[in-house]
Amino acid sequence: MSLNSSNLEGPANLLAIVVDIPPHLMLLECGPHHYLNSVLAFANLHLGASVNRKLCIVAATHTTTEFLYPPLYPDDQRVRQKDGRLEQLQCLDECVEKRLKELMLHQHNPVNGQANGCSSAAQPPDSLLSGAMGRALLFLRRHIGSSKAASNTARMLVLKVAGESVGQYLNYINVYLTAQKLGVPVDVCCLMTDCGLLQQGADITGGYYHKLTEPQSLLQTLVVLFSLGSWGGGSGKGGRSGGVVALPPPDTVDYRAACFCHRALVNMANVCSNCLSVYCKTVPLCSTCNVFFPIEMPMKRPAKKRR
Amino acid sequence: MDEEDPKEYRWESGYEKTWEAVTEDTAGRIESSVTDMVLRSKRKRMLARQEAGVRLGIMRHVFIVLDMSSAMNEQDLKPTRHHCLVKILQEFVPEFHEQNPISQLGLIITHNKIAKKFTDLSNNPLKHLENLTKLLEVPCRGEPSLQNSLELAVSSLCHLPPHTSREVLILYAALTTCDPGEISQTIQKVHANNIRVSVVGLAAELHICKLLSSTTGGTFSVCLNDLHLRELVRDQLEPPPAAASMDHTLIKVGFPHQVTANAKPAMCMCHLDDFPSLSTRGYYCPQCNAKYCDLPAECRVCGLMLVTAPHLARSYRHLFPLKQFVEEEYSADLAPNCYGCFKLFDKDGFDKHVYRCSSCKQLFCVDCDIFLHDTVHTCPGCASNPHF
Ligand SMILES: [Zn+2]
Ligand SMILES: [Zn+2]
Ligand SMILES: [Zn+2]
Ligand SMILES: [Zn+2]
Ligand SMILES: [Zn+2]
Repeated sequence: MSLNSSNLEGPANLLAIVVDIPPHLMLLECGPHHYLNSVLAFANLHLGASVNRKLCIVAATHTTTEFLYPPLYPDDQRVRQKDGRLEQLQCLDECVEKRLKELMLHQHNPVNGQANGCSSAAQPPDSLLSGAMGRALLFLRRHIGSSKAASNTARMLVLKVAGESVGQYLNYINVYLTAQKLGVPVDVCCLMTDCGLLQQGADITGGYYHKLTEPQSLLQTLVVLFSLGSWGGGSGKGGRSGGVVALPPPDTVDYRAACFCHRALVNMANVCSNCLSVYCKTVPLCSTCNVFFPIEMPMKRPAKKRR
Repeated sequence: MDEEDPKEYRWESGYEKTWEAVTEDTAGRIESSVTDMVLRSKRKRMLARQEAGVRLGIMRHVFIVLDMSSAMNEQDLKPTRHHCLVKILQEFVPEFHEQNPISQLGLIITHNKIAKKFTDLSNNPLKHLENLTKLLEVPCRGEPSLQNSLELAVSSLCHLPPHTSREVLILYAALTTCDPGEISQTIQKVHANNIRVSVVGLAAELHICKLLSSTTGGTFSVCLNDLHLRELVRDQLEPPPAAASMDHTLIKVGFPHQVTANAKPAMCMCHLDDFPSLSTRGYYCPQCNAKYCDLPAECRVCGLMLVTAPHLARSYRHLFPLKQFVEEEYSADLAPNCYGCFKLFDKDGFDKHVYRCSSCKQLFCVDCDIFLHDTVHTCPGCASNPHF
């Protein structure tokens, strides 16, 4: 982590961190402070390693998403002072803290709080991760595009706290397919429980997926798996071959789809031949494209005479 | 049949009097005018598709009929028509499979007065690409036969389930056809079987090709140069508006798990014909547990269509297109930054106009607007709002 500024002209390393901030963050064994501090420390590590590193942090709660970093207005009075590097890190800490407070305030504002109702207490509401990932992707694209150097590398790291997401399926897939097109690997670190949907994203984009069962070691995991493994040495697209650590092989990837009727993940399904909507049962009518299905499976119809 | 109103095929091909529209630019070249025409037709096509709505027969079965007669040796397309076309197809095949996730392609070649099935209907792009490379070695000889090619295509397409879109794409270079019988009967048969035939001519307009495509509801066009040819072939990437008579059904599909850890080495079913090698990586049919190394595939054991959820999702963008954003004059009382990329709006320069999503009311810069509509197809503002 030496502050080597020798490669001023080198290709930029872009990192977008998407942080899940669910209402049940408080229930996390290690507490929300540890969680957020680990993220911040990891962000510091990234920015501090080289001048050519850029960063954005986007937070997702169950009611909204917000950029935590970079600051909207370049803070000119401070940046110009003495050693620019450390100032930038301080700016990072302050900026994230300020935005996070605003975000929490917004969250506890009765108007916004009621918005989601929280009626089903059994199922904690989903965080809007796909929105945050979409914004992070637009940020990355702007910076990949601005400097014409093709060797700019960009990655996304998604942190998710417990709970399976199945809603907004299409939004997630659209983000993944776009990331794949841009050559941006999406790394995923899930705390406590697996998330099949995010795992698909890591697999499609060539990112790395990891489930962390001990939140205490979050920072350590981030540094070992998502920092050294991804940036160290290897420059190939999505290639971690040159990484410092050998990563464990990927697990089973869950490629199930969520049915449109119940949002349940299914192994086998019926798909509308017109629009490919997924149904877990036989339905008489496609609710997406309003097409009727003949009651007898048409396979039984006499085929047209063949010659 | 009478000579039809010429307007009809012009409208169908999307190019209006292409030969008249070609003008020389100041340097005396026609290249730029052709490029412009290609762009304009692209925009038009996008608009037409948005109006057509969701009725798209996405499960397509397409036979490409490739003229391999001596006319393909001509060098008006570089290096030869043959090589140029194969190159275009090599680009076309993977894109076709990406945009038509559960569709199948097949290849028929015609030369020496006969037609031959070169590649069976399949949804494995790798197999097609392999065969296309082989095709480069096949010499182009003799005369093509339209009738034989059509008969062959009909015999393979007619027994497919009724809900599929049956299509033939003919890439034709010759100015003649050598047919054993009355071709108009074959055309009627093609029509009766609900097969849509589109023709892309490499040399000139042929009456019989025009008749064939207009009878079956396909498109007809003649290319101007290699770029134009590429564009005409790429037109076929988009699914055609579903034929009215097409029946809809529920297709049973399986979403296999990919197993890598703790898996026993097994042979994959897709390469049984070649050299079955043992490997641990693969996808397993949820119904019968047969293994496949690549998807999409149709299970050889139980016939289940095997896809992954992202495969299907690729086609949902046809279904749920992102609504156009509303252009607004930028003023100081609007949000200071682009909602998407977090860029400060530059009010005097580049960001005179900003773009607002009509659902979530967030503002975007022009770059994000274009990128969201061209590539992403979801609004991050709407995705950041639990009410959508
Ligand atoms: Zn269901
Ligand atoms: Zn449907
Ligand atoms: Zn099977
Ligand atoms: Zn923007
Ligand atoms: Zn929106």
